[in-house]
Amino acid sequence: MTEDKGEDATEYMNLKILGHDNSVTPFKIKKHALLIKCLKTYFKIIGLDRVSVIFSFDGHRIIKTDTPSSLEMKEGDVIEVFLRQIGG
Amino acid sequence: MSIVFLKKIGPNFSFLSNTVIEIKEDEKIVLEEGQIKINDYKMLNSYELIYDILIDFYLNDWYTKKLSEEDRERTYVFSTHFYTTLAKSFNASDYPAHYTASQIRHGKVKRWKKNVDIFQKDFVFIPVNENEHWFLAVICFPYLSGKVNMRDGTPVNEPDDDAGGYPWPRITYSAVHDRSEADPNDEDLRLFDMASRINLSTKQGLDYETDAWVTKTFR
Repeated sequence: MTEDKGEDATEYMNLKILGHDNSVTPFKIKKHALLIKCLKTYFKIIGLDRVSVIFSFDGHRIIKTDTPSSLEMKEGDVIEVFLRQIGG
Repeated sequence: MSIVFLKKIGPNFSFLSNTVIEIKEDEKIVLEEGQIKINDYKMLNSYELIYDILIDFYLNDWYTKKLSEEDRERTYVFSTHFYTTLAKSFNASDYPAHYTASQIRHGKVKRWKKNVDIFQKDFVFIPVNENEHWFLAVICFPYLSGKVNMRDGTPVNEPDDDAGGYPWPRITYSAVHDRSEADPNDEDLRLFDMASRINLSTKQGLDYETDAWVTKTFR
């Protein structure tokens, strides 16, 4: 039983989103939940357009199917937000 | 062996939505779902600015398909956000006081390529976006330091040949205040002017072409 409790405790992870303006937003997510869902909530909070930003974890661009476990995230890891870059 | 994928590239990309992409065993899938939209694609018209996603796609495509196996081994291509992250301004009070600015910047990107030792590569490509322009920086042979013999690669301990070089003032300011810790690297910066008489007189005897040119010009 104690082992089960331990697994439950690690089921949720605390992650952070580092905004493009250096603001930090902490959030909690299940290990196997899709990251894009909590990122959508983040869009609503900061009021940015979905198309104009990119989420990246250690240089990997986060896509629809990514979960914390598929990216091998650890407790307290940081997801970075980049504005899309344009140039010519 | 080949695998056939049915792949939808994006909701707006209707004419490509049922494209069959054949992927051979050794090829990577470089188009991730929902990434390139029709509006990005339209940016390939002339006189249009282009998004980072197209730069990333092209570099990835070039790396995975155009390069030979040998060249791929000794090359590394960063994503377009690498330089942006490295050069982004930061709040020094968020970090321990003994950290230097370079350490903080390194800390921001050191987890990006955990499994790749870029200092063992021959060429490292870094796309740079500044002031709405795209640049491509190429670092050649990052493991070399100092001068080496061209024939066998042994280190050479000779002073630089500065004959004909203008005295170059040390750079004491930084054009970008945000990056004041960056090494201006001005010890490697030399300015030579081939057309100057003073410089040419000291350059005589260097090689045949220079000598011939000096004689023709100033006889």
